[in-house]
Amino acid sequence: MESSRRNFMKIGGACALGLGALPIVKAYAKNEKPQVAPDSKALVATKWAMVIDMKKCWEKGKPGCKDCLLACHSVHNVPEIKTIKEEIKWIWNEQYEHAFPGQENHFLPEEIRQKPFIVLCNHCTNPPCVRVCPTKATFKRKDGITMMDYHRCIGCRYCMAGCPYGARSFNFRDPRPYIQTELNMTYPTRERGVVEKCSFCDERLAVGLLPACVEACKCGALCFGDIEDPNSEVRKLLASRFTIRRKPELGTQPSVYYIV
Amino acid sequence: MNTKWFNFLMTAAVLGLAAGSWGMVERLLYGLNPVAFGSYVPWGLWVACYLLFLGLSAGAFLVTIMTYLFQMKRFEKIGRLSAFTVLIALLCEVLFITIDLGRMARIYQFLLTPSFSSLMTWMFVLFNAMLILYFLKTFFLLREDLVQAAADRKRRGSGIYRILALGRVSYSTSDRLADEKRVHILSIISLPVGLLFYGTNGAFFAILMNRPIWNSALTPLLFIVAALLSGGALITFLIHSYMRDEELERILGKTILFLLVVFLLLEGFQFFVGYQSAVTAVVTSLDLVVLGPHWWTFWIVHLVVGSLIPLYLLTARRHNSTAISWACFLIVATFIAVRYNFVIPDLAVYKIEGLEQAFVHKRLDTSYVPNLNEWLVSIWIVSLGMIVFLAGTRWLPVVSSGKGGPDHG
Repeated sequence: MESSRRNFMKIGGACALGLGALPIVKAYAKNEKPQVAPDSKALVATKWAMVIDMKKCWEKGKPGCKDCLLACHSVHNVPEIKTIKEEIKWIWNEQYEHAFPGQENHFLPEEIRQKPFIVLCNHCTNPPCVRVCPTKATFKRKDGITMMDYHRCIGCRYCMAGCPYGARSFNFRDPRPYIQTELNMTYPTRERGVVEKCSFCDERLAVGLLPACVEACKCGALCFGDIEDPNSEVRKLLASRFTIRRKPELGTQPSVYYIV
Repeated sequence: MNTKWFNFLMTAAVLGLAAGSWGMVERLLYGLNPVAFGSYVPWGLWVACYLLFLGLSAGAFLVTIMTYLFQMKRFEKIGRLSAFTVLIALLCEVLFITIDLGRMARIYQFLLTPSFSSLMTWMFVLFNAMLILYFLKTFFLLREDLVQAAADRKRRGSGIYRILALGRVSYSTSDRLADEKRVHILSIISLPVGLLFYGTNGAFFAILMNRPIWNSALTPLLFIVAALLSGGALITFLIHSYMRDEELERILGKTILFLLVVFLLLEGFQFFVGYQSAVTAVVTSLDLVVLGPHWWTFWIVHLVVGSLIPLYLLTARRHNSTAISWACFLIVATFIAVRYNFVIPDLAVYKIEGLEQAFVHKRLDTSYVPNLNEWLVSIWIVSLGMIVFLAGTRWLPVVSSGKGGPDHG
């Protein structure tokens, strides 16, 4: 009797352990290949990059133009939270000295000092946020996009401490009541307790559309394309114009370039 | 510890738990909405408290290693108390860091999609390893006495002891030998696990290249010394409170003095190198520590109360165990200032390197003062830890003179 009870306990324990481990095994053994065939119109690239021509933005754009910011925040249901420490931003304006610390000097043209620079996630080639994320909620796609899976994010904010560009925002409160624009039903809203950031409009690229900010810029200051393609517009701009990147000394290799 | 002190501390802890419940309820209902930190200073008081308890466990960890791995007889008297202290400090630590997560319920993601390039994953792994090791170690150390208490039917609460002893009512010599062996094996495993655990916590911050002070090879070393200093001070203070062994306290007093001097020296190097190299980001961060809005936490709380007075007591009054105990108490009580000044200033300089005018930039409001909610939650966790610790030292065979060595039977 004693022996059979022991055996029963052993077998029962092993079964419970096996059933408990099932989700873990499933997660590890899952097929990484996409389950749905990509849209035939989808834009594909070896490595996406953006060139922002600030000169064009200042000279051709209307004063105080925020078309790119508004388009992005509208398409992605980004809430407008007035409390500064809790604000959510995917793309925003920053002064030169804040966007490019260490690259400023006292003799810079007044225009550069005063005019706003468009800043967003740099989709770095060597992203510190991906390295520090403990649950792979932030990961690097093969096409260079630094992506986020909001359902994996545990809200530890290590990525925010690690990002040198302040490109990540944390949802301290439920963002949904703060969405000021008409709700875009094709893009998911986020929930309280997760980090979010620019995704280079991966959802638009998947259906053959350019990022919302690029499309919204009427003066063509934002150029987006495959940096590995020698015939792409971004490559031509990089070959013909002098560009700078944010905090190059950190070695993160941003994919966003600036023509100043 | 006499009954008067026990009652006083237990009452304080129960009141703290009651008061802190308000903050805890708010935290559970509204997530991280009621906190004072924001997207620019993304970590606050709870991460500082996590680091404090991390350190507090380290001194007791060292004692358990010396007792059960290196079999140093001098420490065996405090072996059980040390193992139990590690366990409680780890539990407080995990509560602080869990409460800081935006989505606590998703903690299982560490198991489903772990990223081994992240030091946070390694912290999770090592923390759990430490928790399991010290849970088992404490259990095997106490088991004989638990079984004896369970077997004594006349004893009040013998049923509880029986549950704690997992139903056992007899304990033979061979059981004792087996438990001693288990404790020894657990100690062998816990040495590398513990060293990695305490080192990883320093490296966790050191690898962030955009943080001017953290990003230094000195950080992990500073963390280990800080942990041993605060944890060593705690265990010395506990010895004085629970068992009064003057000789042992004097030995530990000398160790604490040495650690305090080394810690201040390393801290001094950090400031000297930072100011001499004159890298604007580093200088801005250091300035925030010494001249910022919370300058008094560095100068008065940490340096005067937490360092100079203990230095005086540990040198001029080194033969007096009460003075040593006071010195250790002051170190432990003020160490939160060290942790606070480590976590906050480096987060506050995220992109304002050298730009004094940036302090008034509307988006770069780097001022952070923990609010009532953060304090209440902290009080709740500390009170809970105190209740469990006091109850354990009162009703579990944690403090028992002459027992607790490698041959603890």
